Order: sequence, then structure tokens, then C-alpha cells
Amino acid sequence: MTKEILNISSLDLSYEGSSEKVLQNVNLSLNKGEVLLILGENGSGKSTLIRAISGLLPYQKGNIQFYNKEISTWSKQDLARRMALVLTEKNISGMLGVEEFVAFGRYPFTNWLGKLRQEDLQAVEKSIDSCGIQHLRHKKIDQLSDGEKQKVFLARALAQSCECLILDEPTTHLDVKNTVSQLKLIQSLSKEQGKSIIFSSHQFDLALQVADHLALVVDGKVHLLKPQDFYDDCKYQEMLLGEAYRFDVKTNRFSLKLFS
Amino acid sequence: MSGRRNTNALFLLLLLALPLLFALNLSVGSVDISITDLFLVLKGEATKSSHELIFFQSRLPKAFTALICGASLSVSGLLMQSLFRNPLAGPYILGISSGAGLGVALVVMGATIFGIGLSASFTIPLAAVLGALLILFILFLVSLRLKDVMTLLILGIMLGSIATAIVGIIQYFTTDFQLKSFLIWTLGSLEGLSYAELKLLAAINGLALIAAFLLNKPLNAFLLGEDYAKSMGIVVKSSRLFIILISGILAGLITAYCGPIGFVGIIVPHLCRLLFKSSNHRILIPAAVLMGAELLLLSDVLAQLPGNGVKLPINSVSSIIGIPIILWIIFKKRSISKSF
Repeated sequence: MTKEILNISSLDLSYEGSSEKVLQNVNLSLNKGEVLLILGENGSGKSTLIRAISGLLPYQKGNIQFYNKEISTWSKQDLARRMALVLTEKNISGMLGVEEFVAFGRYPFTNWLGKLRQEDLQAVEKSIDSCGIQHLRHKKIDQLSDGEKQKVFLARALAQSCECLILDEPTTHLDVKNTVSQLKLIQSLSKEQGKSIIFSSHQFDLALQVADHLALVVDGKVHLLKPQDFYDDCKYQEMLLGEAYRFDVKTNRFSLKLFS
Repeated sequence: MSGRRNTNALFLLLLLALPLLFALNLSVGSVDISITDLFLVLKGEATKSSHELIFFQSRLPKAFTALICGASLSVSGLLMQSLFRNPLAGPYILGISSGAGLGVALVVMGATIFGIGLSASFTIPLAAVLGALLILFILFLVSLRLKDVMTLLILGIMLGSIATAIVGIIQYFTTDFQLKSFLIWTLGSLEGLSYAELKLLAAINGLALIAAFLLNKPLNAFLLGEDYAKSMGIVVKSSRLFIILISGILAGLITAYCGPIGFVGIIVPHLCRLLFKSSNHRILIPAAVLMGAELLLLSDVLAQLPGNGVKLPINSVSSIIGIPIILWIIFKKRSISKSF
């Protein structure tokens, strides 16, 4: 039985404090355990969509239902127990240890003093393990490379023990090997632990291989497809990749078409 | 975990240093009272009755004032630095002290201009509290409508400038004598608090310090920025209001009783971060309480150094000690933003 956790209908979005519409009439839904990949050019509105789904961006028209409840009506604490977030911004002030930082992910569950109970420590331990950052645990955040930060931020989100993860560009700054391990982690979180994951990426060919659904954000519209549709239909490839980069059915890979 | 052991050792060190500095502060002054004499006074067996008088009437209240004042200003500054994610923020960044200054200026110097004169001993603190509250109230109203914390920071700085400008006009029209008594207030002083005033100050600021510690989760979450704070279940607007309120109470009351003592609130949070190598507020808040109290006790000791009963203004001394420490940190670390 599939359980719908997110349903967006006829949603219009604009930037905060502006009336200009960035995205119009967005409709999409996501079931438990599924992975939705959001692809689009720079400035197409991917992050705007992600902010709206996370309840960070108010919207005038349409609905975002998370577990059959409008996202704006969730209390912050209840939402934080169901949905965890990694944004592209990773500047944090101050000196924090990696372990300490990952433990911040337990905030929705701890008391006023932020005291960690046994189960909190276990959750922290588990997410440090899953993200493969044991070797970083005694470092400070400001000593990390951008790629290492990426993993540490994911670990913090995982420590929130949420059924839904929203990740804005979790593969940026990562080399190919680490991109692959990050994507494998996304896949196993969804397929083995039943987490629903929404993420955006520019490494579309790798990311598509772990996605169940694809949301293509182009010219203010969101096209909802199956990953296979993207390979099969040149129209969608052109939307994302422009004219000179295509999936070649004969060679079974993407290739440049510079002089045609 | 070695980090935790270091933290505990540092706390132990700070805890041990506090009574030592407190005793040192009590023994130094225009009349030297040795540590053994201090014990005799405490046991009620003072060899000279003047010792007992000096001790209970002057030294002890002053030392307690230094303790509360240092702790309050440091935590107040820490809250502002974390809220605004700005290493230069301090307890007075939102214009709290300028508001208090305006209140005091009106009371001390307003007499010549407006023909009103209030001279009871409680009027200066009262006027300062009212001035600080006025600024706090405006900030509160505005922050309910504002999404962006930076706008609030700019507004606070502007409110402070307006208050300072009005004080300037009052200063221009006042008499020399009243101008001097206002200037003395601006230099700050730890002296002259009665035990009743001290109790009030200790009770309110003590509660505010506990409240600040209870805000450690939102404060930590704000280190990641407001979006992450929200995603971690923090209610950003009300947390922000609480942080401003607590910081305002801490700084406002101290300013009311001691005048604007500036530098402690900016420097101590940095010292704590560097010493404990952490920005976690569960560590920083108790650390700022201890280090703030100690720095001000020490500043007060150094303020008596010229001897012969000459005392330097505490505000100047704390800045003169504080600035070399900050410079040392900057040269050692090359950049203060690394530690922030």
C-alpha cells in the first residue's frame, strides 16, 4: 500500500516580498519511500520550490499538504520531527565540533536544556556512521572542506530521524566518488528505511539513477516525469541541457553535439 | 573524550579563580586590608573597627556589583553577538545604553532647561531604566513586523544615535556643573549601591541569566541561520524577542546602576570562545558569567593601582585591559572571525 506524504496542488510561488511569480500552477505528489529529483537551470526556481515545501516560504495561492495537513499550519516542532532540511547555505558562525553539530539535529526531541538522552546519542551515532564521517567527528566545522561540510550537514539532518528529507543540492562540491556514495546513501535511505526524499542536483545523469520521480523546473513551470521519460524524450533534454547535449540511444550515454 | 575533559578543567579553573579574585578585590583599596584581616572581619573579630566599616559599607557591595555587572554584561553581549551573527555586537548595540543615557541626561541636566529637578537617589537608576525600556519597547514593536534581523540591528543603531543626539543638545544647553555630573555617570562606577539595590539587581539579573541559559537551544540554532533554526523546530520570532528582552534587561539594569560599562560585553564572549574553543551556548553562557565577573573584578583592582585613594574610571580601565587582549587574540589567530 502506498501512502501519500506530500501533495502540492495549483501552487503559485514568488520570492519573498515580491509579487513577480517565479513558479506557476505547480502540481506534484510524493509517496512514502520515494525519491523526487528536482532538476532545473540556475535561477529556475528549484530552491524557491524547496523552500516552499519546507514551510520556509509563504505562498498566496494553492496548497502544500504534508501528511494531509497544510504545511503552514504545522507547528515548527512537529514539522521538525517529520521533515529535515539541508539547504545550499552552509555558512555557520562560530566554532562547533562536528559531533556537537550533528547532535543539534536532536533539538526537536530534547528538552529546554538540550540534554541528550541515550536514544539521542544512538541517533547521532547512527547518522555519523551512515554518512561515513567518523574520521571527521573530532574536527571543527570551520576546518572542513566544502565537500566534507556537505556530508556533515546531511548527518545533522539524518539525526533528526525524520520520515521526509529535503536536500538542496546535496552533491555540489563533491567529487565523483563522494557524489556516488551520497546518492547511494539517498537510495538506501529511501529503499531500506522507507524515507521520502526530495533533492535537487546539477549532476543530473547520476542523480536520475536514484530517482523515482523527476520534477523538471523550466520557465516558471514544473513538469513531473518519470526518469525514463527524460531519456526517451528530446524535448525534456533540451529544456534542461540546451541544444548541444543529448542522450544518444545508440551509445547509451549523453554526448556533446558541437558541430551538427 | 579529551574535549570534554578540557572543558571541565577550564570550568574548574574559572570557578577557583572567582573567589581568589573576589578576595583580592576586597583587600585592595585606599586602605589595604590584608587577606588575614579579611578573615577576621568575616569572623566578626576585626582588629580595627574602621576595617569593618570599610568592608561592609564599601568593599563588599562594590565587589558584588562588579561580579553581577561583569556576568550580566558579558552574557548580554553574547546574546547580541549570536542573534546578529556579528562579532562586533555587544550589549549596547541596540541603543539600550543610549536610551538609558537619555533618561539620565534628562534628569541630571534637564533641570536647567526645563526647570524640573529630581534629585532623590533612586531617580538616576529609574530614569535610566525608563530610557532603556523605551528603546526596548520600540525594538519589540518593530521586530514583531520585521522578518530580517539585520534591519533590526540597523534600526537599533539608529535609535541609539537619535538618543545620543538629543543628549548632545541637552549637554549644549546645560551648566558646567551638571555636565560634569552627567559625564561622571557615563564613565561608569561600581560604587554606591546599597544592599537593597544590590538584592534587587541580583534577583532580576540572576533570573535573567538563568533565562539566558534556557535559551541555549535557539541561540545555538541561530548559529546556523534562521532557516535552519526553523527547520529544527525553533520558533524564530518569539525566540528572537526573548533574546532581545533578556539581553536588554541584563544591560539596561546594569547601565541604570553603574553607567555604561562598555567593553566587557564585547570582549568576554570572544575570550570564552577562544578559551573553550567552542561556540556552544551550553558552555559559553556559564563561561561568560564566570569570565565576565572575573574580568570586572580584576579591572576594578587595577583601577585602584595609582594608590593614595585615586581611582580610575572603571569604564576606561576595562577597555584598557580589554583591548590588548583582543589585539593579542587577533594577532595570534590572524582573524577574529575564525573564532566567531
